[in-house]
Amino acid sequence: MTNSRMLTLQQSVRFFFKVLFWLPITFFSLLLVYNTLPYFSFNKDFSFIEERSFLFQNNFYNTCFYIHILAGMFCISTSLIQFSRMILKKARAIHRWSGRIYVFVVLFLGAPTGLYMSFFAKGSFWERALFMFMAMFWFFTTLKGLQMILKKNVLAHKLWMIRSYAMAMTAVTFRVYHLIFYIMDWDHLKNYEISLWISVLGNMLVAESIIYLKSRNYLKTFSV
Amino acid sequence: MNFLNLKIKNMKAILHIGAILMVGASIYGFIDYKRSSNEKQFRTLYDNKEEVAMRKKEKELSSARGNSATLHAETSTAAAIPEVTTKKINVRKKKTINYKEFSRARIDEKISKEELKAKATKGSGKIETKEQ
Repeated sequence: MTNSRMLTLQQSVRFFFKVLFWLPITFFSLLLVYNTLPYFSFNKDFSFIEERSFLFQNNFYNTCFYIHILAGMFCISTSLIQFSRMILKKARAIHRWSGRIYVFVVLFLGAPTGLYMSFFAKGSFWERALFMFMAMFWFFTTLKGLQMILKKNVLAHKLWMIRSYAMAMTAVTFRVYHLIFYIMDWDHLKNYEISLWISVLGNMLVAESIIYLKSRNYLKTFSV
Repeated sequence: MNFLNLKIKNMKAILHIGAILMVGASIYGFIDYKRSSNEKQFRTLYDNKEEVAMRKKEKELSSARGNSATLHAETSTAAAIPEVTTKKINVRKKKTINYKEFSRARIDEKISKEELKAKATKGSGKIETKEQ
């Protein structure tokens, strides 16, 4: 009796923390997608474009930018349902299809355009290097995730996809930190650089800690 | 390649296409960066345009005063500063967050511009110089 009560309590606590984790992620992801839509009016009256008006004179950069934001929209919206256990159990086809879209968009559109644009990113050499690292790491983790599922290694697939998703989510977390530091009255460039570093390193740390927590029981089986 | 039926043998094709795109992006990006880094517009791309304009104006004013009054050469720059600051419009920045500011773009610049317009339409007189 006590055990079943404890189990129910544990399950409800777990559910509460899941909601606490996924609710802001879903909200900010959808907000990002919603805020990206106006860019497809191809109007240049956006402060992001105005600031980089010189770069937008280059047709290749211009094209890369629009491909990148379109890819980002698809990535963020398709990956939202990828971690749902319910969808995975009851509608595996949805998981597979959105996964295919995610992988295709990251490998062929998002990461290459991101890598090209990283050369012109705001900040010092180190911020540009960080953007390059992000693009390459995003590409590599997504590729590994695909490779693992094709080898039917579900556990490794999960772990690599968590890492890939963490990289995709830097776009969201960056904006959150950027707003927080703006409220704290930080200088714009300092705010931009610190938000960028915290979002990338923070997301990687969160991803690794989730991986550790998820595979803790599995790792225990190796201990004598 | 049939993308609907992904198999391990297709992995190589995906890897090759992806790798080509990534290598191409990095090479072309580097070449493009080198080409545009020679241009002055690119080097000053992310500088705060308003600050730069203000500094330029201050320099011009101080140099003009320096030419006209040779006796007060040292004090001319000091005298120029208060004149500039009286004309300087410091808009009170309200830290209200709008959902549209959930972006990678600069936040404060956009707000100050909007407020500047709003204040300018309200009255043509002096604008209070307060900053939070």
